[in-house]
Amino acid sequence: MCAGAELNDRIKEISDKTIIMKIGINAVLLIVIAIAGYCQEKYFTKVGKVTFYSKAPLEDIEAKNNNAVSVFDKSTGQVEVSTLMKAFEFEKALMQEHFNENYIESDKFPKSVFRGMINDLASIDFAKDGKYNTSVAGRLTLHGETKDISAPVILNINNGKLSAAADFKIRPEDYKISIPALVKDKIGKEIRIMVEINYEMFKR
Amino acid sequence: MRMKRWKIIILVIAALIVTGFYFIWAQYHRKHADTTDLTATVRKEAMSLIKEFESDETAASLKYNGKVISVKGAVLKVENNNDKRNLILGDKSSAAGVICEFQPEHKSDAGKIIPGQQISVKGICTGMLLDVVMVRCVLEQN
Repeated sequence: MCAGAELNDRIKEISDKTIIMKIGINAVLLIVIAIAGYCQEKYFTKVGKVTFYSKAPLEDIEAKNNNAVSVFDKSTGQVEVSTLMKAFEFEKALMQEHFNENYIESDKFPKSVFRGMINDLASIDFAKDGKYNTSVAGRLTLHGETKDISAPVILNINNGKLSAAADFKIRPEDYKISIPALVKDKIGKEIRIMVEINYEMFKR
Repeated sequence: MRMKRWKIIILVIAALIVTGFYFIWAQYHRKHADTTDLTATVRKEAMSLIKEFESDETAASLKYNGKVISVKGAVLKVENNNDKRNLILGDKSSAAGVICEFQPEHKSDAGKIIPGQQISVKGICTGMLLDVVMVRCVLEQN
């Protein structure tokens, strides 16, 4: 083989390798962009705040949990909020003990989970700052019982950051939470639940 | 004489009633104990606690939830959580960590900690969601 033909083959080989490399780099870039795009559809937090409140004649009952985990998918509207029952903190130690041992039985049922969908998703522009009054509907599992619930939700988008606030009521008897006859009249028939979440973009 | 005996009986009954009411009142108004004064039932490395929850969550929940435990590990993150302060212990090799929510009275101690530091934290284990969560935490002296 003459030197010219050899040179041509070498150039062809290098050019083939370059094309294969370019295709490889482009494929990797596409996957990275696709994953990044998928992740940007989701918001999450590990420090959601859930408060429950009941008005009672002797003293109002209130407990706070600052470690709720929530994931929200803006492309589908799916939302999930989970809490650990033992992370609810009451001002009075005795109330907290009664809540865990007698009412919610947190050794048997350590978590509560809400899974639902945000309504009117099409009307929400997540790229634009604004306040949206919408609602959520889904299923709440508490004390081993699962019930359908719906609640009004305020979504607030400020500088690209999303926060959500929900305020609704549940009836302990719907979740088979038995309240002793002695205090039954002293605790409201409905418990008010307030959820405040400041979401972050989900990053892997 | 008989009158005197009755007076003593009435006084004793009244004293018992007052003591009983005081006991009920004190129990009702009892505040949470400062975790510094509580004794940890278990001492664990943060990663070992996470692995125990990951391998059998039900068994680990029964073993640790509601218990005062002491956890040792590297600080991954210090973050403000509503009006509380959290330290996250763990290892970058795992997606899960141990979230330690500090007792409000000891919140400033958590502020002095920097990521990477090896520390020991005592608190009440409440279970695992994405991470193991401990509340009412205090810093332990190494």
